[in-house]
Amino acid sequence: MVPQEHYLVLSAILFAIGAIGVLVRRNAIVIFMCIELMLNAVNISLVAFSKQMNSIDGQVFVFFIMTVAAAEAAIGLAIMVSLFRNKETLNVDEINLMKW
Amino acid sequence: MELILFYIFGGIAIIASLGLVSGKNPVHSALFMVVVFFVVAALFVLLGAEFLAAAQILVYAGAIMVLFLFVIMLLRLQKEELRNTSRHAFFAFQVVMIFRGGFFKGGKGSFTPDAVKGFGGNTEAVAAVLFTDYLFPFELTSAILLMAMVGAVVLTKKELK
Repeated sequence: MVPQEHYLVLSAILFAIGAIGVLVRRNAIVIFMCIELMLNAVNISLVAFSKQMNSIDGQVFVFFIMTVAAAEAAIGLAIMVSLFRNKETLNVDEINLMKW
Repeated sequence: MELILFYIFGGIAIIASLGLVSGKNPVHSALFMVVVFFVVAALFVLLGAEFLAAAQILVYAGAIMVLFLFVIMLLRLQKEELRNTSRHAFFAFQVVMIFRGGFFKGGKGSFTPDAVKGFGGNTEAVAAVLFTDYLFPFELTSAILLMAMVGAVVLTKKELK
């Protein structure tokens, strides 16, 4: 039996690594993967809570998060493909079209 | 035993996610990401969520990573340098500290391990909740997936006539 705090600490560590990756990396695809990592970290703590509370709702939330993550991956990668077609780069420092 | 497995999987997850963040080549990052997904699926099994473990492998390792690798190889990316990290790392630390304290306090549910066994397993228990209490959100996800499909086609089409 693993104490629930262990799962929460692991989840926090993975989330922190993902957050650092989003802020430190320049490649848009790698930033996107870091976002997926953060979603996974949150999923771990949702399932851990679901087990501790004897409730299935947490697992249902994880199911919905997975669905949204799949949709988001499809849209995000489509945006990157069209971005690369226009700018020839995925370096987020050079993608400053929206910057005034 | 369970604790040892947890530490093994947790260690692999942390090492692989560090590799994901620090790898120079996006393809290496993607392969580390596959490792993280599989290890998280293993953690779901440890937590008794077998359905989610299977869905995790099918959706993430199967579909999403193939999409990522496909786009990476399609776009022929050059190597990148890391940004000046100290300021950003400090900001990331602040973000983590904000999220750290939010421990959830709620009432206990009725799905004890015995009750889940009474349903016939984890998958059946998830289905019993998903198709009753969460039926409307479940139907909405089909709309989300349809929108994502249409959006991806529209975004990557060469020219709209």
